[in-house]
Amino acid sequence: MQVKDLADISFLKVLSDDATLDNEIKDLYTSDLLSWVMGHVHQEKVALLTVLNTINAVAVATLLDMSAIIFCEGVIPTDDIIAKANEEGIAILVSPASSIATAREIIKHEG
Amino acid sequence: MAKLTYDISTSLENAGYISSKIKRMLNEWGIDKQIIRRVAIASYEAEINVVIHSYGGICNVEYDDKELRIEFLDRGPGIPSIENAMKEGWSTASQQDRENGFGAGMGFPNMKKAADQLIVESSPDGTSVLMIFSLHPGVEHAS
Repeated sequence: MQVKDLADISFLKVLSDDATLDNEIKDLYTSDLLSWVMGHVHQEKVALLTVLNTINAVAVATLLDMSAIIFCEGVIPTDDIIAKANEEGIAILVSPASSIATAREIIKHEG
Repeated sequence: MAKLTYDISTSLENAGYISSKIKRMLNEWGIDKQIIRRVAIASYEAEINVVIHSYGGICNVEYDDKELRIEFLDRGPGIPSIENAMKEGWSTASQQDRENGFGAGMGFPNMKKAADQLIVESSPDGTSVLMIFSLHPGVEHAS
């Protein structure tokens, strides 16, 4: 699945550049502890679902070759987060729903 | 061995800068992706520790065609117990660091898992974290 497939889900909104729409998503992972993400995500092209509104989330996503960060529960990432993600080619999405509800919707959508 | 030295800024916004630099360098060298991933994880954790726990420090990167040695040196205040720091879940991170997503107590456990060798020394004057990675594991080099 690609980021643009997620854009079909009505409550998800893509905030990063169009160039990130083709990013491939191989799996989903959710955590709000960055070292936990560092130690437990073992493949590339994962989308991270989090409420952690910090530029360090982008640093972790970059180092782990993640394809997207989905900020959940209505968290709106700051402009510097979006700018940094665009620079690194990581998609940024926002969801009003919880991480679990968002993940459930994505999995359902993937069918 | 070639050697590079980086200053580590203690501002959180720049955390990850040095690990990203090292990662890019290894990508350019065409190093195996799994090794790059391990180096990225270990160096990020060590860099974050310097940023959130120390008064500042430097990072030395030394390498030849077989081995990469990354050393983080800070100016204190030291780790109260290295033994505890190696345990998953143990952390001295502040409330503010925790709100920023740090303080999981996974830093050293992640470094230990990711690096081929990890050597930590600490006193109130400073901490040194040396991580050694074999760049071509399984390949015997004739000396």
